Amino acid sequence: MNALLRRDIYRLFRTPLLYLFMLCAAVIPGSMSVMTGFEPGYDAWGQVSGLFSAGIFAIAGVFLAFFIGNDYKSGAVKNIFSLFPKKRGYAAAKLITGAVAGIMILLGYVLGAEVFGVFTGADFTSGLFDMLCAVVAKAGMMFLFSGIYVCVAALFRNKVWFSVFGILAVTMLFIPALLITLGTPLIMAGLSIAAGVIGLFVFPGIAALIMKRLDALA
Amino acid sequence: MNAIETHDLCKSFHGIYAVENLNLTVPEGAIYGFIGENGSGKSTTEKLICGLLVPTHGKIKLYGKPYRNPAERAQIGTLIEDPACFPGSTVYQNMMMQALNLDVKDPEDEIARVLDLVQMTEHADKKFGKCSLGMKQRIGIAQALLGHPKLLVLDEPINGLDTEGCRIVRETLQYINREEGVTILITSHILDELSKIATHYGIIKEGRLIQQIRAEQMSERCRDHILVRTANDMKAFGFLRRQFETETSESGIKVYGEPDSMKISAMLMEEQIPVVQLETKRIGLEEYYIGIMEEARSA
Repeated sequence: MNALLRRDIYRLFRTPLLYLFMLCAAVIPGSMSVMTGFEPGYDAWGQVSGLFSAGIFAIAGVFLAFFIGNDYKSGAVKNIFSLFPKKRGYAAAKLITGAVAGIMILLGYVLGAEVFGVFTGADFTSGLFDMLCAVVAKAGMMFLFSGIYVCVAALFRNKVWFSVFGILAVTMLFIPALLITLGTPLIMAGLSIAAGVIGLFVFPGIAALIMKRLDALA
Repeated sequence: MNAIETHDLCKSFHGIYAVENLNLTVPEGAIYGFIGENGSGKSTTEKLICGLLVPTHGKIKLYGKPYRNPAERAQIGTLIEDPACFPGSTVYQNMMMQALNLDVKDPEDEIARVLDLVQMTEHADKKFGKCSLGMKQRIGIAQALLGHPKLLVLDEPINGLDTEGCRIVRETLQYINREEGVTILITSHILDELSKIATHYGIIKEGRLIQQIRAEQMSERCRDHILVRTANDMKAFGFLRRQFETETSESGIKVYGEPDSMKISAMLMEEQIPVVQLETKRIGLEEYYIGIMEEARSA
């Protein structure tokens, strides 16, 4: 898995789509505020827990759908599965890479929210600590959801748009869980990290079972 | 030891067998030319060996161990169908990703080595998607050579290559086979090129292996000869066998070792044996393969 993870991280930071999605995430808080009628009381730090922040998971999921789908479309899986017959390592590497991508997209979102807040003279009413806990909580949840997304993408392989719709559907089902409130920050952060760790161990096995049943070349 | 062994290997797709009861043996250190018609199961066999398809039945062994053994699989280099590269990444980046897969020490040096072997060094910074078909094939071969594999599985590696490209690939494969003892399983429809490097051949038809033969044995069977038909073949055969190595066949008398057909014609005329047909036959891999296929069809 280490070799696969190094490869995926190398590829991740050289994928223009990641930076495009980070940019999209960065403009969400500001653009949503403008579209919904910018009102006084926009809480820049509070955007981390807002409804729109749940969309970060969908964006990360779509990115992962393309990231995994392009492995199949380009034929890179031929090299990978020739060397690594056990699919669990591949799934684990993709889960971690997907979570890293999701965290970067999340950070893009947070940065966008704060920059928008600074430029518009908005409030920073929520506490910095609460905000940071919410970021950590969402980062922990990224590992859990990345695992789910890897399973969906493993099912559809090179059919990227099927993966995209599957991932969006899954995300819609779990929206309430993604709305991390700022009320109980430490507890939420702890629970989310625990969920992420569980996902890190459980979902690679599930994804590996899916991939084992399917030929690598669809 | 054999590098690859398959035992009753089968692969079916929706009830139709693409490969059926295949018992393939690739000796260690061989360059094994795997030939057959389109759709005969060559690529399917290679994909099964590389673990890209799940066998329906049967077993595969690499160097005597189950083919899913990670230690053995780590020593395979593959080029199956198209090169496995991301079009939006550069040649160097694609090579680096594979080097990272292989956990190669000093990946930069290793990438430089293999690109130099296939003479693609100057294209390292080019986007893979912008490369020509021939360049892509050479990059794919370079990728397969990363990490000094001991087994190469190549599916149509010289497709799309010009004469110079074919020469480069041929010399590279011969070099690594000779100097590093790399075993190579290679499929190609360009039999002339294959005949220049293969040490063993396997011929597959409709998913079944119909012949495995060493190159020396094939050379024995593929000797150039003059085919003679006369008005009295029995007399002609009796006369010619006293002078040359001869053999009878359904198509006539085969005379080996004498390149001059006019000389044979003159000799027969002196014996008052009228010649009906006189033809010089040059048998290469292609003619041998076509003959085998025709025999298989009529069987």
